[in-house]
Amino acid sequence: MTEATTGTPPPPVPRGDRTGGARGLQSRRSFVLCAAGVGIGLALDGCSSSPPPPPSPYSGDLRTVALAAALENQAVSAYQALDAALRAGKLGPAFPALAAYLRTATDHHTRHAATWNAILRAAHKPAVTTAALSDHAKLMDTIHAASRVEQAVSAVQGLENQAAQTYTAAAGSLAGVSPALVAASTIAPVEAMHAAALGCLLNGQSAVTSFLGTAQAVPATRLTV
Amino acid sequence: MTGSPTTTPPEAPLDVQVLQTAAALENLAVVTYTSAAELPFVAKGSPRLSALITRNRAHHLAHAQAFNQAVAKAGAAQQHAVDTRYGATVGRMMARMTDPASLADLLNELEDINAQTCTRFAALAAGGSLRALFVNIASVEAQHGSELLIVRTLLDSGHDGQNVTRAAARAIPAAAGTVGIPQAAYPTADASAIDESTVR
Repeated sequence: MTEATTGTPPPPVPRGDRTGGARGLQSRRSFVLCAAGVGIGLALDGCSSSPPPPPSPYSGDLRTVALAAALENQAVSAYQALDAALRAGKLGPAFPALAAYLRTATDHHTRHAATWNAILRAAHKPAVTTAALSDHAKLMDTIHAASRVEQAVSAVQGLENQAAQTYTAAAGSLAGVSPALVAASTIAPVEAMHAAALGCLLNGQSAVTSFLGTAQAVPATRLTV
Repeated sequence: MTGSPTTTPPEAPLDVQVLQTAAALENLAVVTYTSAAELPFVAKGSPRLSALITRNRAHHLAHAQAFNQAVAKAGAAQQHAVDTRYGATVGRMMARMTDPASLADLLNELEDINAQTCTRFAALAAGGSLRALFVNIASVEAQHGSELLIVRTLLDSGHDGQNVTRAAARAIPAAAGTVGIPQAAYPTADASAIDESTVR
């Protein structure tokens, strides 16, 4: 195990993005471009034929919850892809411990998604049933292109760290005591354990540090719904 | 591990109580890991377990400092004593410790109590920064537990290497793949009482 102690308390937790995120920014930019085009008499077919997407149904704390559900869906997809590659022999000989880990971790993430989506449904919001994240395709490309198990595991280990840190940050930004706060505080340690277990299984090296941090927390702007 | 719950009237603000109790649990972890490092079968035994003990002790020291810094910021007395509920019991267990497997079990139990306590306290603390601190540290304690559980399993199966080669990693038993991730949601049933180790 590697020594990784900073002894430094974690930095202040950044508050989550409570605006409409990238979608809202995109709408404002479209409006400005159309208005400018009309002002100088240009034909701007694109403005009228590409209406801005509908506003996101998620705002405030519920946007954080929707982000969490998307992260869990992403983890399930990533683990399923890794499992398929492992079974197909694309990543070398059999790896029983990793295969067992994948089944259990996939089940955990499926349950986590259900927990987050139950909060959305209770608030009369639609569940997030896909990996609605702007980086999802790139992640899946990385896993599908992996020719060594270390490459694919590194990708999913990064997801676990991101999720744990996102929920740690969420615990600091969610308003008051709520089901979302309880979910964040009980799920973050599990994601952190996933990340630690992967390191142990793959090469016996630990990347556990004295504080988890929030530098890798995923911003709500990455959510695409 | 058992202990007699202690209760006192809640005199200090809630945040101060949970911080002092959390600091006391960290202090207990530091003392226990310090004792563990001195055990002959650790000093001359598995390098992997020995490295975990050294590193985890340092982490708990940092956690105790973080909690005590927050206590001081709240204008209350810092907690430098070990947890009152578990301190004596753990001390007795350490005095009788004779093998790495039992030691890993005890250390994992301590990590789990700390993690459950921090997870529970995260939902009780008043401010966002304090909540995040508790989740942050709960996650690290949970990681300690995960690694201890895996190392315990590897010791049992005769796998004991710091830097596992690719071939050796694939020979690790399947049980090691799941033992370190035992639950989908971190429990809080064994969390300490908020006033378990307040400074009196």
